[in-house]
Amino acid sequence: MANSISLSERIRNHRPLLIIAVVQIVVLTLVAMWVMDIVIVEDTREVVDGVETITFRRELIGDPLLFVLAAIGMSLPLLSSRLRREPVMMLAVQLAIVALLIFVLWPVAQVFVEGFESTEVEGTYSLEHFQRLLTKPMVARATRNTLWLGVTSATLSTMIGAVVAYTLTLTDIPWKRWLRILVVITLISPPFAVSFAFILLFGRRGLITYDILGIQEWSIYGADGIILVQLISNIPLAVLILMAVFASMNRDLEDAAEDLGAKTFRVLRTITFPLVTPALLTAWLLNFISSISDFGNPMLIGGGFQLLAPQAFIQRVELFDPQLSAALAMLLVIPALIAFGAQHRISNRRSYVTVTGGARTGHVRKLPGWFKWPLFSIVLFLGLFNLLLYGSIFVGALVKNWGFDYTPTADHLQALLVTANQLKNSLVVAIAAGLLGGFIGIGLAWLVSRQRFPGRGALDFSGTLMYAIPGTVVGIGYIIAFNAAPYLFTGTFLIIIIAYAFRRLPVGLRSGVAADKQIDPSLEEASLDLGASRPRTFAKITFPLLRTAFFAGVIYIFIRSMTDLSSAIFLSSAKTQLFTVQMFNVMVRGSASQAAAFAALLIVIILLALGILGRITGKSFVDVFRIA
Amino acid sequence: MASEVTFATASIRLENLTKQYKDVLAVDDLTLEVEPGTLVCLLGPSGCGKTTTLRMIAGFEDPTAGRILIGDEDVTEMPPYSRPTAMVFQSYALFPHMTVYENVAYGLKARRTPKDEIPGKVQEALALMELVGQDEKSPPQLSGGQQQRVALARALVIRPKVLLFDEPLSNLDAQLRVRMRSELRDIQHRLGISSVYVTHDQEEAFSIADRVAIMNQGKLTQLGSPIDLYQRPADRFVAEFVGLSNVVPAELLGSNDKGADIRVFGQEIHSLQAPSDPKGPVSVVLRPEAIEILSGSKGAVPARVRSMAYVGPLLRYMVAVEGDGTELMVDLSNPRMDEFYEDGAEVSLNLPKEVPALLS
Amino acid sequence: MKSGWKIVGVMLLGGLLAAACATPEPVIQTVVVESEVEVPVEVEVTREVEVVVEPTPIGGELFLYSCLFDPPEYGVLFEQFKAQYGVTVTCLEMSSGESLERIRAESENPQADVLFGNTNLAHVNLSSDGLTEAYKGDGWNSLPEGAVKDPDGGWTGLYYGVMGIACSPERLEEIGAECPTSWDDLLDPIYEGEIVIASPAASGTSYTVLSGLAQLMGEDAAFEWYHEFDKNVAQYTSSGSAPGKMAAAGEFAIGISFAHDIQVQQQNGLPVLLNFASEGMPFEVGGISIIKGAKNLAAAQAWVDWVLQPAFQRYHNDVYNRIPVLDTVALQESSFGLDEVKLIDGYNPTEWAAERDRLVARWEEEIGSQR
Repeated sequence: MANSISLSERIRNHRPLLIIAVVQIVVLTLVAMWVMDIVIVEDTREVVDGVETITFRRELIGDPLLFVLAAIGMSLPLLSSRLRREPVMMLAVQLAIVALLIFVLWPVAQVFVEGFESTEVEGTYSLEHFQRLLTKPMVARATRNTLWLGVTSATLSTMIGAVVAYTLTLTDIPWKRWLRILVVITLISPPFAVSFAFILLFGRRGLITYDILGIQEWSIYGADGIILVQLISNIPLAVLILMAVFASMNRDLEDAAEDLGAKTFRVLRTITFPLVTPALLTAWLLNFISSISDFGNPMLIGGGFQLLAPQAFIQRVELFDPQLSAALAMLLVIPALIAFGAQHRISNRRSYVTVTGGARTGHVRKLPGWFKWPLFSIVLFLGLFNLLLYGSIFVGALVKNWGFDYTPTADHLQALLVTANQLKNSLVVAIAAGLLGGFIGIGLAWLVSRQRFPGRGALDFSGTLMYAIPGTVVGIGYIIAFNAAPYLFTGTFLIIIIAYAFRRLPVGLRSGVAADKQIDPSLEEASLDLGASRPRTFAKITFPLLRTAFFAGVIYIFIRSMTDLSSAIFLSSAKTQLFTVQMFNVMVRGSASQAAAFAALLIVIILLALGILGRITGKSFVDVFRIA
Repeated sequence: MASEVTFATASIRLENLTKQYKDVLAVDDLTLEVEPGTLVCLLGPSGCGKTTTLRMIAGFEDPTAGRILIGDEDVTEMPPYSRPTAMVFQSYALFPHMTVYENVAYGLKARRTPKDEIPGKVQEALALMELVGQDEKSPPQLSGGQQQRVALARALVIRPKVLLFDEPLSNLDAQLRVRMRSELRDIQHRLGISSVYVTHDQEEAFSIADRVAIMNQGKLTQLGSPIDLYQRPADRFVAEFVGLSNVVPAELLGSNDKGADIRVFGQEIHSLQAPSDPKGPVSVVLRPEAIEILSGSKGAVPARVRSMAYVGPLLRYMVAVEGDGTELMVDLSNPRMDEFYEDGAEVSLNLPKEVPALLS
Repeated sequence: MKSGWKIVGVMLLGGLLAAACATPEPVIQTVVVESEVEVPVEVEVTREVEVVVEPTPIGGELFLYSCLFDPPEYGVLFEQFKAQYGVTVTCLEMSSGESLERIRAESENPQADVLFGNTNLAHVNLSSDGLTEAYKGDGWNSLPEGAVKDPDGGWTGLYYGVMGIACSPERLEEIGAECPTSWDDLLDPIYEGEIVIASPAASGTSYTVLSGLAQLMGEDAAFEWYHEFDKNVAQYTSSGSAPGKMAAAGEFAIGISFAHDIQVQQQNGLPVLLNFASEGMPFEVGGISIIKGAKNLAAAQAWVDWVLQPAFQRYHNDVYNRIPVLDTVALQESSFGLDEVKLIDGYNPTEWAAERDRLVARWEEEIGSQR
């Protein structure tokens, strides 16, 4: 009759729903195909009268559990009517859930699971490895040492970093531009390159300790050395985070305090530093995690100082005890998670938004000379020290044999030519990881910071969780999770790129969120009001405004990926050799000058890449640190 | 209501104050005196140096040359925390991590006031600013007006000899601004503290100041009471800044110590004051309300109506002088029915016979 | 809510359809075994290695986990093997830990045939779990009983890695001492604070020293020795090769590492001496084993025998300074052989591997935790 609706009209009415349904199926099928496979396996083989008969059977391999979890994860957003109204956003949320599930939560969970796997009784789970851990005195010592190291290193580097950041942002010392660069420069080098430079200069035959000062008693090997090296490597991180916060602080507050009669130290104590507390906590947390998961430095300069991260590696790779290694890795994760949770809670409660407009930020205040000049000398010392370290690496690369023969030579540089392949691999991986992580980070940031939907907090937390997971654990987790068929991922570039992208994702996410908070919501609302869809609004309005955060994130991920060792050492393989792994091997086995050549080349490449990236995007990676 | 408190106060003297930045001379040889208990307004466009001057008095900037004296004390070399000044900031600068009580108590603590005296003083200051009961709130929870009051209470509680205001009202909406203005004025009067007030809003300055200092490009252009400035602007800049319009060049016919005569648009006008520089070009301010507008050729100066607007109870005409083209603003109050002229209508003007002063 | 369930319903349906389409049908396959293989007889000799080629066609492919050499070097070997047997060899480089995991993960459906190289502990690990094929071929037969082969044929030894004592001539001069030549020498107080060695708890390779000494002197006497020795040790490193490197760099007078690692430092041009203890040196054995269920069993067996021939053994010695398990191999000049180094009598790394946890715990308790 006249009032029946035709099929094509019906389809048109429900078009959004149909599109959603189709996309769901496609995504789930892709996931299924990836995590599981049905293979044909030999069942029996018989040879009868010169004729060999082989029978086959079908077998399901892979991780059906993961598929089920992914399916559940994907259906959760379907239940929210708010999201159903906006299919694009819902799809974004679903993709985010699936991606985080597969690449963050699942690998980490694998490490936990393996720690509980029993080797005595195949196929069951037990606490035996944890019992073994408890009985090994080495483990108790390593745990104690690791915690002590983490707390000391993080506290010292945050304190010094705060002082340096304050001086560089809020005082009028001379040569600020150069000092800013010099102070931060160790951020771009692989951490163990700093160890190495320390050995060159301050080791038992170090240029300074041996040749110049003739010190016999003190040795750089051991806890002292690790702390010194970690300080030099981690202070830049604290400095960058705190500089961003200091720069955006309302200077009027300090002026007002002084005006009311507070003297210099009182102002610092009661006004300046309380206000940057959240940033201090963030810096502390990052440094703590970086310190406890440090693998390269202890191996090089640790002497006999037992630590968890190198132990986890050794147990796995040299002693063939993966379950013990996983159990050790879990010991690493626990303090990191605790610290992470604590910082999350405190940070969220006390955020000091500026009260009104018209505030003056970034201008330099007058400070008394007796206060300013000591600060200046601290910063200057740090900058020059970094210069000295890097200088020794470059000189070491250009002489025959550091410590014995200082005749200049280009031999070691020439020897580097064979590593061109590995260098190319590292560059490709780092850039790809940077782009991937940058995009995902910004996308997540947009979802999490501005939109309201159920489960937003959980998504935010999962995205940031990777902060807390030490690189060693990530490496191990990815191996366990994606090693066997049907993935056979280990040994390809893709897994390294993904591992790096997701590992550093939190930085891009946090900086994207911070940048997003500064954008006036009425801009997006105006765009929607005028008729632009959400994707269009994101592309034309939001993303251009978030560009700074995006590029800064890309660059930061690039640097960290180029200089990473703790994950690379697990994920790299013959087909996908990475430069840092090669460099580490040479450092452990080769002569000082050979190793120096590697380090020097890496530093130069990174500086070049930074320069180019900075030129193209017009941003510098310093911008990513406005995250606190 | 609030107890009557009087504060000890002092005069402020700026002598040849100069501030030179790398390529900018922000304050140029400024000499100024603020009498005890009075409020002097520093008024001028952006970049004229008024805020820099204020910050030098507070001690946040060091002068390149010159001295600052508060009372008899030369404070030029003193750090901000030692000076007997208190400032109210444009952004209020309330400490967001402290409650209202703690904010107000801050200065007292910094000055080592005995612990048992602090609560009393804080409550006194809160009462004075009508903030009783707000102790435990934190700044983000307060409205703009309340925040402003906290800022003021915080400044007053430490009994400064000098109060400094850095555009404190510019973040408030219009109505609130007008109300706060008179409140500030009241308090300053009651307490009798010498004050320096920086603003770019002419209306605001004129309503609260005892004397106004007009600054332009680092220099003090004119210092005087609002009336002085309005009646006898020292030059074209001041005149236009204080809102006077219709500044036109005039032909000087003669001048002596009793006054001067000029001719403008063919009409002769007598000025009660001789121009400061008789040899140079002379301008005169024709106040809009002082010009008569008549239909046809009844008046002396023919003109044509360009536009008309209602401004409150007035009709404001923009007319172009015939032959010359100069645009004049003419205000007509209480217009009669036949005084509504259309755009393009031919009219004529009668200029005032007398003006108080001339501009050089 | 209603439209939500609709979507879920559509999804389930779609999913089932997709699953049904994706599953391949198994097929019963019949294969007749016969092969004709062409074997080229041209052979290139790249190092001073004598190769005797007697074409014995097997054909097909061979997959190795772990390559043992660098690409230029193993390429040569694979060509020669192919010339002899007509087999195309592919190796996949990975660390021992990784290879063990891979083999375990693939135990239902092995993708490789041979685990090549790696310390024999890896092979012991596999074979004790039943993941290797027993094979007692020519190669296995040519080796003496004891440390260098599994009595059941589960794995075969390939090379020795001998521990060495590295000395820094400069540092020795500064402290006025000589390079030690015996384990007793190492106890001399003149070396106090000048010796570095890896920690048995941290490094697998340094457990070799501990267990070697236990074999040499008896466990309790070894621990007494270690107590004395501990006084001279400056630090226990985490890395096995670090001590040799540090001695070569002149940072410490004496470092105890594998001799082949010390030789690498010498080849780098660093002034370092290499000595051996007269009582005998501990060693590790590198091995090779066939993975259980290997698809190319014949080729795998041929490979195992082939690498135990003198030609290959000499080649390995040339390239990587390892000592051949065959004592009939003529060595390169700078190398040392079994006649120059005394190996500890009766030392079998495999047997001592079982004692590892206990010995290391004892070391930890008596020595490690006291520092």
